[in-house]
Amino acid sequence: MKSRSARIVLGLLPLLSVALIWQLSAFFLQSTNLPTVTQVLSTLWEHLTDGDMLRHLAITLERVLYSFCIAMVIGVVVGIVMGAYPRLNQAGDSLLMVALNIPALVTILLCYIWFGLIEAAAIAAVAINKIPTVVVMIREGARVVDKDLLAVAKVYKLSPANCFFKVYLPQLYPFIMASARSGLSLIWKIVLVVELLGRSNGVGFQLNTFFQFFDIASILAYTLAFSAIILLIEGLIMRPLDRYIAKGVA
Amino acid sequence: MINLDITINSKAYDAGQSGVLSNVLSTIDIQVEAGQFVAIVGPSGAGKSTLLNMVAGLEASEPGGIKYNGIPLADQPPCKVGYIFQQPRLMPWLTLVENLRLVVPEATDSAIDALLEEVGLDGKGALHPRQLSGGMQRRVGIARAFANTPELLLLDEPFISLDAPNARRLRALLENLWFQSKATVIFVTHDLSEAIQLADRIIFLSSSPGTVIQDINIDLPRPRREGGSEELLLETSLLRYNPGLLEGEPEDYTFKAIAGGRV
Repeated sequence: MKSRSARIVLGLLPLLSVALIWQLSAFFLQSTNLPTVTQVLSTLWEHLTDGDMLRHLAITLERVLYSFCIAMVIGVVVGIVMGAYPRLNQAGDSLLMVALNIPALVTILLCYIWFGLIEAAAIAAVAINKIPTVVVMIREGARVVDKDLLAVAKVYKLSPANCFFKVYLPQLYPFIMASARSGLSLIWKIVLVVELLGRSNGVGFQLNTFFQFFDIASILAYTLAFSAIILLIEGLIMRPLDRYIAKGVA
Repeated sequence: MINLDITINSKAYDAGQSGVLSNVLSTIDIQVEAGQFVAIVGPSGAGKSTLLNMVAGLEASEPGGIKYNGIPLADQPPCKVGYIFQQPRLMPWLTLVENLRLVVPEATDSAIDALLEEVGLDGKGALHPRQLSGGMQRRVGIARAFANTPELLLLDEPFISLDAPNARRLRALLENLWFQSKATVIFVTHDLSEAIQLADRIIFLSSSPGTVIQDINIDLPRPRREGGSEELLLETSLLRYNPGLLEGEPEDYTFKAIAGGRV
């Protein structure tokens, strides 16, 4: 337990020092463009208590969740198929390269234009942006799958389901974790852009409103709130998953 | 139980991108009786593992080249095959119990526990393979091969890179489990004394591309002992009359009948 609390302190220390530097510089600059930490925190508190920050956070989080799940499932399936069949991989490689390099903004605009300013278009736009990066990572994993272990599955005539879930897929877990982690951070950034461009709720929409009023304290308050949520997801879901996966794989 | 017909004309691998095929096996024609323990001895690179993989159906063979009970591999009804690999090849993300259950999904908990106990790993079922020593992992591999009471058991130098006492213990374990199951066994090794100790019959392969250079039956009574006088006598006389035998050099075909072995 001692080492665990030490770890938490070590993790918090840099954050606290940044906050301290911020507070001091804002205090001395006395600029309207840089509110102090305490100002931001009190704004955050206001939004939490009498604004509807929680509603917007929940809406954004929901969009993040949907597009994350869609991107992961499609990305993992396509990645496995491309990794398993070299022919298909060669055929799809150029397409994948193009997809990887299409700017997020272009997909978002096109989705809104083609499908209208609707929720499905927003979520699709985010998922489309993420899928290629998942595919690239999973494909690498599928290429280095241990053929020796698959031979074991074949000799012992494992059922296809057992072979896939107990022999094949576990070898991809580290790759799936890595893409999930990078995916989460990428997705929530894109979700905000999507909200800013074509939604009337969510964190991105709120940020745009605050931008109109140059309400810098509120912008920072929303940023803090969402960063806290991402940290929580990392600590409560990603880390335990990591540990679970690392249990078997040396 | 299963009798085997192995007919191979040649087996080649694509050596790299050049498209050049390199032959690993040339003509091989072996019949194995049901319940027989056959050792295949040959120098490294003789294609022993390839031969074993072809018998297991992991490597392609000519149509009808491998037959179980006279039926080609492709038309084979499901039969129980156990394979003990050179490396234990356990799933690192599964516990020992889960590793065993993988090959026998319908087995009861007590059956799995009994299996672990039989290989001396009782109480270790909840551990993951990496928490075990190499010798223990091999024992799990052996337990897995016997878990489905195989009719055909294939072993690819399973005791390589083990220290002598561990190898001795595992050989005894293998022999013991084989006595109970009476499976047909193909045992690949490059260790002649190991082969003499375990096998009913030893087939010697030439160096690459492998072909059968000698095929002898071992009639020594069981239980045999490692370093026993009769075993040693057989081994030394085999090598005296066929000095190139283990190197896979087939220049001397004048094999002489000797104590305990017959051509």
